[in-house]
Amino acid sequence: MNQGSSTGTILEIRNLCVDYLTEKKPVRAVDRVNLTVKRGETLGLAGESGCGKSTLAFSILRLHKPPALIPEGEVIFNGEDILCMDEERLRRIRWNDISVVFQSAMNCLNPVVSIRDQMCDVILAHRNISKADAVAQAANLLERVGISPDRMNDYPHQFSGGMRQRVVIAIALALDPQMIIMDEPTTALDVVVEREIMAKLEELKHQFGFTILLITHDLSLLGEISDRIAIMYGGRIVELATSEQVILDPKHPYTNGLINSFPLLSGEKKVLSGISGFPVNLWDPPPGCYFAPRCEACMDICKRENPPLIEIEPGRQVACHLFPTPEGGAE
Amino acid sequence: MGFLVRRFLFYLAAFLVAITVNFALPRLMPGDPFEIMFAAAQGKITPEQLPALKAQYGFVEGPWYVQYGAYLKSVFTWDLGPSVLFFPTPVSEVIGYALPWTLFISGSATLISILIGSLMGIYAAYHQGGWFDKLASPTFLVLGAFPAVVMAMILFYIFGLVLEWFPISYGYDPDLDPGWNLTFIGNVLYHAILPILSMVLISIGGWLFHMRNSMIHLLSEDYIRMAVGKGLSRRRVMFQYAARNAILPVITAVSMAIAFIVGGAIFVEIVFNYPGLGNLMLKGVMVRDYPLIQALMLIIVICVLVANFVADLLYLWLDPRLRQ
Repeated sequence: MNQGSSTGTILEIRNLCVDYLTEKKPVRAVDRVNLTVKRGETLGLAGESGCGKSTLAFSILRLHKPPALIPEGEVIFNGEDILCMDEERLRRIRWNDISVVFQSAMNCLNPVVSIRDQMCDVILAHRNISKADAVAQAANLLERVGISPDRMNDYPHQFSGGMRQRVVIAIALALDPQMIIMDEPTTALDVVVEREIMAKLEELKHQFGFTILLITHDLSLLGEISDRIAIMYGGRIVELATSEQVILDPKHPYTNGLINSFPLLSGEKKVLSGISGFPVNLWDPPPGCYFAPRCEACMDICKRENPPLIEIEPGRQVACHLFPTPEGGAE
Repeated sequence: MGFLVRRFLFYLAAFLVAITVNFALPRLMPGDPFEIMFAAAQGKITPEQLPALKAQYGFVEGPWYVQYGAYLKSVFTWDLGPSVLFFPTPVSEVIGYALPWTLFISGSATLISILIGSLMGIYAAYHQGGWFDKLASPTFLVLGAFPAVVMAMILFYIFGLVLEWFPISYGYDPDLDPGWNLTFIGNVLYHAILPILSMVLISIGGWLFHMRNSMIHLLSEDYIRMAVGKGLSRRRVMFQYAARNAILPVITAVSMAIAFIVGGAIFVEIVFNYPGLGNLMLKGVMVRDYPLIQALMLIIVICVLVANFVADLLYLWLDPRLRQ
């Protein structure tokens, strides 16, 4: 791994917006997101369906498709803005430096091309080695994720769902990337297979030392494997803290609601409450805090002004009017 | 393998049904071809000669199953009797001369329209709503709605009669001696351009449209996004990932249209007086050459079935999910 001079930041998302163009007006799916990913960490990104977490993940590598477009923002990877790169530079960054494990393992392998060719094509697209070496490398990767290299010539439909997800992870590891974006890598799988995959991932992270941006709506999973968690609501980051802080001491009312919607594996029994109301309609968003209509602690200011994401203590950020800026100056 | 065997048995059954219809049709039609021939001969054939005439054309007296057995035998031994028009040349020989011409123009027209049509479809899908898509897609859709005969006549009139750029008749210049030399091959190609072009122009739209729609549907698949994410070249994503998958439903759609392609070839040949099966069929119908017409029907059935079988093989080759 190239550890570089800065052990600190690997990826910095600054003021990123993503709009979906519709007939009438653009709908903002990701709204001025600022997020810093530290080298070597596992950063979790959680939120309800439709909160913009996958859109955010795709836009990092510019994998968003029309009608989505990025009107403003920066995605700084190792000091370079990915959003400003030309096609060829971007092509080289993709997978070589940042790879992606997609949501649906069932659908993200090409059904008519063998596993071997799908692994070799990405190796050969980035490395100047012979086909035979690429095949050997692919065999090695499959072995690492626990799939027999004999099965390399098989096609995706000949594998089970869990195996396919492991193949996808093997492909994601193919070029020894610095960072892997995982978009709900285990959503399509049952809990037993999910556990198996996540354990494998931990082990591989240990070996390779990559950084993970893990996107999921499964907070209990995040609590176990991530270092920090960012909570997203309506395209905005509403809270960012260490996993422990988020799970045990959530600050934002929305995070609190999320935590109370599922049972923790460890810890005492509690009554699950959930969150009333419906997710914000981004077609016609309220003027103030997006969560205000569902929030039990809603105040007058919440309906008028959107709270900025501020640091309430070192390394801990919340966007909520309940937490005024420490200096008491800005708002 | 099971897939292939099943398909083969299916085509065998289809073939048997088709030749049975081919056998039954002339016999169900009112009137007897030999009575017509007898009348047409205006006394040159005596009633006593009639049974001999029937026997010569392969029409056996007796109950239908005896006739059917004789017919099946003639089909499988390819001994289809003499042609009336080209008497005494056997029908099989007459067809053997015309078949290569038809295979040549309809085969090249199909290959050309597959190649150009699907490439245009891929391009139109990739730049959906772009100028090419807006212009080419509707244009070829309109051209595809033309019956083959109309398209052939338009080209015949414009490029053959008015502009005189291309010959309007025959497969090659009658002054030339057939042979494997450049002059002759060039001349054959020159004569084939308009017939092939008419067939390409009407069939290309189908490929373009099927390919375009199939591609647009596929481009939203996760494996396409992953392929882009993998940093593969645009060309590789387009062909190995998108087009490889998009072509599967297109093959099915087009293999069902093969009968129309063959049907189109017949009219195109008639318009351009091309020495293929279509022209032969017209001549055969004019003089009621029953053995010839029946054999032509048989050949067309075989062509359609073989083309479908080839499409199946292609499908099998391209889609590993069928190989088990």
